[in-house]
Amino acid sequence: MKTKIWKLLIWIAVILPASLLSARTADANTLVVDGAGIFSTDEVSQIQDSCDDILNRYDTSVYIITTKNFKEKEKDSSYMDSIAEDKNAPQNLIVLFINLKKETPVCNIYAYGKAKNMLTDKRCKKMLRHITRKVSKQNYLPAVNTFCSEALIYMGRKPMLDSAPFSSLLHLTLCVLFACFILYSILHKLPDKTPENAKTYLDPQSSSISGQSDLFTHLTEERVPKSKHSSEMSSNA
Amino acid sequence: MEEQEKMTEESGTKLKTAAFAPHTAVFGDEEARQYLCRNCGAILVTDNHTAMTDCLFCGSQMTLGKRISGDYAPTKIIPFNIPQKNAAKAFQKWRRKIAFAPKEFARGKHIREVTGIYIPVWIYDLKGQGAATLHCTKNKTYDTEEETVTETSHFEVLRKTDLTFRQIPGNASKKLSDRLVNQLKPFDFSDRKDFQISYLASHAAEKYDVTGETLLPRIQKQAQQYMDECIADTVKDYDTAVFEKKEYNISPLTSDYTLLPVWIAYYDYGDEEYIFAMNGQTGKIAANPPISKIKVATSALLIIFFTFLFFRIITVLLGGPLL
Repeated sequence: MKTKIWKLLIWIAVILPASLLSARTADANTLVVDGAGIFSTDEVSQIQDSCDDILNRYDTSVYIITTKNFKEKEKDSSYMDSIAEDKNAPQNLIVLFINLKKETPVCNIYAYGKAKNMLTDKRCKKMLRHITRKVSKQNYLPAVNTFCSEALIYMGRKPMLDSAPFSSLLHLTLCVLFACFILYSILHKLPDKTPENAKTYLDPQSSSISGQSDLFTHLTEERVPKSKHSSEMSSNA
Repeated sequence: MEEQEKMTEESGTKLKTAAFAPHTAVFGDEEARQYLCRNCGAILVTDNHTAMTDCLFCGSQMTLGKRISGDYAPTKIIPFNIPQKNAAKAFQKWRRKIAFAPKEFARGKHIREVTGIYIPVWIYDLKGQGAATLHCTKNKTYDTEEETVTETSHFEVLRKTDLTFRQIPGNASKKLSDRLVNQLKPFDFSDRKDFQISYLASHAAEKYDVTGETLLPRIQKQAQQYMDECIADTVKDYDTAVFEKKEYNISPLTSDYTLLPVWIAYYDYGDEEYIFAMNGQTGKIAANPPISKIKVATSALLIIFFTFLFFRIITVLLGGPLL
């Protein structure tokens, strides 16, 4: 019961006034709630357009929420979860939450549904690094624009493609090595040197092994205990 | 041959070498002439009736050297088997096929005519006697219920050898590097003829620069490796074999001052001089072509560009970014 009251209070404290302040609230699936009052009407409109772009392309809603009143940082995620779990909440959702209450602003990104698969922890951390840097310099609009553009890119790209085998740097390095290998093999392709060995010059008619002995001297033994796993495997077999 | 023995100790190997005198003839009075190139230092020998004006290596003017009578003369010679026309054709063909060759080279500028020359080598027959002790092992691995057991049997293996190596050539040319001469191999030494001065009427010979005695230690070292190889062949049944002690006596049986036929063409590019050489007996080519750095750099950039593009197109097709 207490939790419900707590959520209601948050809703009243943050969302409702913010909704009233914002020039445009989304009827459908995008929402810009500028509770901290850091965007002008035009800026909100611009952000809304960017969010709509993500919505239209990837059927994923975007909520941008700013606040100065949210006190408990620990409650961010549970609050966001409550929004996402709401009956009327969109299935695929990305939330950018900017809390300016403290001296150091706190930014967080939450992803739900399909967006959760695309905005992995690694990607979110990368985005947050870019956003937080701009927010701390009070470049709020560029920060949100960065968020929107990166979210747009990541939503259209499988997380697998962030891995090393697809990185441009690795490809460039491989290409340089490949070029070096090709050129080296062309430049050092010398006429075949006839392999020379003892047989090339040995005269078998007048050569022999004149004496030989093979004397056994001693025996050594090395015992390596089998690992438990392998012995289990073998016993199973 | 006076039996003086030298002892050299090298990585546990005792190598006995006997002093020897190489098998050579001497030039008679007024039989041959030697010409000296003051530019590249080449000394070329012709018969007494042939006059040389230009150096076969660098094209500079040659001067008549001191009297050659009494000097070492070759005892054997392999005559030219490939005619000049064929050698020149092969050179033209090879020249056009060189990757990254400068334009001037591909067009045939700064290239002198293909000329035939006899290059000097010492051909050795060696006797290698000795004994080697090796530490050899045989491994046997089996599993018990709890352990993997590896049993290693150790053996002290002794091999005594009496080996003869025939016709090991050693380069005595100053102008052709060992590497180049090695690339020209093999020569069929069974085709050697006794040297006659008339051979030098058609092609000049480079005078040997390294004496048979000087070259011998290098050839003995080579023979020592061959002895190791022969002994190693007899212990193939073991899993490992390590030489512990070696005592070889490698003595020369004969060494002949021999001339080998080589077609050569020298050419300049930049500040460097390059050589094309062809085995005059078999037609095998050995050469170091000039390389255009600009062509190499351009090719490198093109390879990098297209392979990078290929990788990125694959990435884009999988849904990734172009860059």
